[in-house]
Amino acid sequence: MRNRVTTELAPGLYTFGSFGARSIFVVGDDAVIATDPVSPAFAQDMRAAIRTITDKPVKYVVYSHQHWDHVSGGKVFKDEGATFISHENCVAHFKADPNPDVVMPDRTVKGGETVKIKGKTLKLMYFGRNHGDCMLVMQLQGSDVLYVNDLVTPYSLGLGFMPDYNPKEWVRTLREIEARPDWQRMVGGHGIPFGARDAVTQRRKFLEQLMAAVRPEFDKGRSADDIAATIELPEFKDVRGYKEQIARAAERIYHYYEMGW
Amino acid sequence: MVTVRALCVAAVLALFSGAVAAQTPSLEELKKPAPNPAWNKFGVRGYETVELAPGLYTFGNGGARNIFLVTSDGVIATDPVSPAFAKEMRAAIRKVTNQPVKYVVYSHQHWDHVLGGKIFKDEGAVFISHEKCVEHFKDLPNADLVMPDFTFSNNYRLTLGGRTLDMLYFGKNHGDCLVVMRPDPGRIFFMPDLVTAGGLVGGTMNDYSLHNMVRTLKELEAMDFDYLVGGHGVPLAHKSAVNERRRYLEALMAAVKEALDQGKSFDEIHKSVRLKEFDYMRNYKEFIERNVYRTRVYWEMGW
Repeated sequence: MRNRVTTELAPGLYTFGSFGARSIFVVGDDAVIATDPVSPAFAQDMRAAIRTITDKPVKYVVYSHQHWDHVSGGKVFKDEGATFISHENCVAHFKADPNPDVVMPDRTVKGGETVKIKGKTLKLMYFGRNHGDCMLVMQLQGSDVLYVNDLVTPYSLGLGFMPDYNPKEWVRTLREIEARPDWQRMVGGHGIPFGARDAVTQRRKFLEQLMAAVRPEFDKGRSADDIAATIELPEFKDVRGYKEQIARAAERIYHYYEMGW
Repeated sequence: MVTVRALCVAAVLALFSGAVAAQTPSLEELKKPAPNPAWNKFGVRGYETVELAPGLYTFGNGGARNIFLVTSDGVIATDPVSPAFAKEMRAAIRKVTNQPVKYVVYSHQHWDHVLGGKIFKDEGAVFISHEKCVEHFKDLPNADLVMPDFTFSNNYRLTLGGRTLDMLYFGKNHGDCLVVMRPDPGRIFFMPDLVTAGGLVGGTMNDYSLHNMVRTLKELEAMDFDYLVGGHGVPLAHKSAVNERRRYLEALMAAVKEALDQGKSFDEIHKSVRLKEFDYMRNYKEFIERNVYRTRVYWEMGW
């Protein structure tokens, strides 16, 4: 199982995966709601893991967003008849960048909807553009756990060049998530099984401080490489990935101020 | 003594300007097909206007570049770039014609191309962009940006004083609202950021969809034209620069995919995948590792 393990977070709510990739699933009385299948190999392992908990079928697969490293491999669930759900904006991406391992969604949502199985309701929330433009945040109703996927890898800086993140909208989204009082723990799409509220705050503060540090240097006319070579954010130097990622993170923010991207 | 020193300074200045002049390729040199050494020697110079064809000019300073079309009924300008750039550009246009700037066409949404339009807005110009740019402009407001007055959804032909400028939309590639501009008679295309002749793509390939970039470049290669102007770099390049860029991207994607399929670690891929056949290109040494990194992430995420 390549170190992929199942962790129960609340009654009927599980996270499955390893540090490399992570997903959640919800077990009800009559069926299962799975989320990101990640890859054919991951999905196969996840299917087996679900079977050790329940013999009920996987009725729904909900995609968090459009990136292949989260949505590939759904076929094993499609074959047992699952209905695939994503935010409506994901469809254009699936069409523009086709991948044979991605099962197209059967149903699209705008955010604010729920997915119901007997005894369990999964809430789907949409915060607009942040990491791509079709990211759904999920919460099992009645639980204190948010599935935020790539919005936060708990206590880790993630990839410095911030693939498909819009820094400003990302900060806005994290602030909106922090303002919600109805959760205490979060699950990311990579990393350790879960984090607490401070993982979201740490991520948001890192971005804000990084932007505040790069902006005046950008305004002085310094180059991206020059800024990247000297940037320091001492408050975060012990966070996982700081040493490897800080230069690229500064370069990414430079390009944000340069291009509005 | 004073005279000697003045002579020395003059000599140094003469040498320096001589060196700059030697690095400045002529339009004829720039028109040669890829691989073209003239494209690779290009450094950032001061602002300059170059007439490429009757009434069609490119203006820029190496760091940024646009085109403008002078007609009997006014000027069609494109990307104003920044307030400082737009001011220089307005003066440069006035040196060529007394006609007012009637239109400003945005190539795509990025701030390093579209800021600074106010000087043209003040003289009454109508601003045009692809409709998909508007969402980006609203999402990330910028005080130096003039919002478009008019948008279109696919291709659009602008007519003024008997001249035409076509805006051609190829879908997602560098962002999702980029248009290639085709001034009549259609032999020279303005394609900001799709191709910067002779150089690698900027390190992290900002706002690039690799697969769609290759598709777009193939569609452009199939079209009938002779030369292109980019949004940065040299004033003019042969159409073969499109082919060179497309082959580079395909080779990059194939090499990274092969390394991934061989099960190499990400670190190993970043450090070992290199494209010797393209190492003559400008910025190769500086950008190749970041291009490889970006491409590895593409194969992982589909982004």
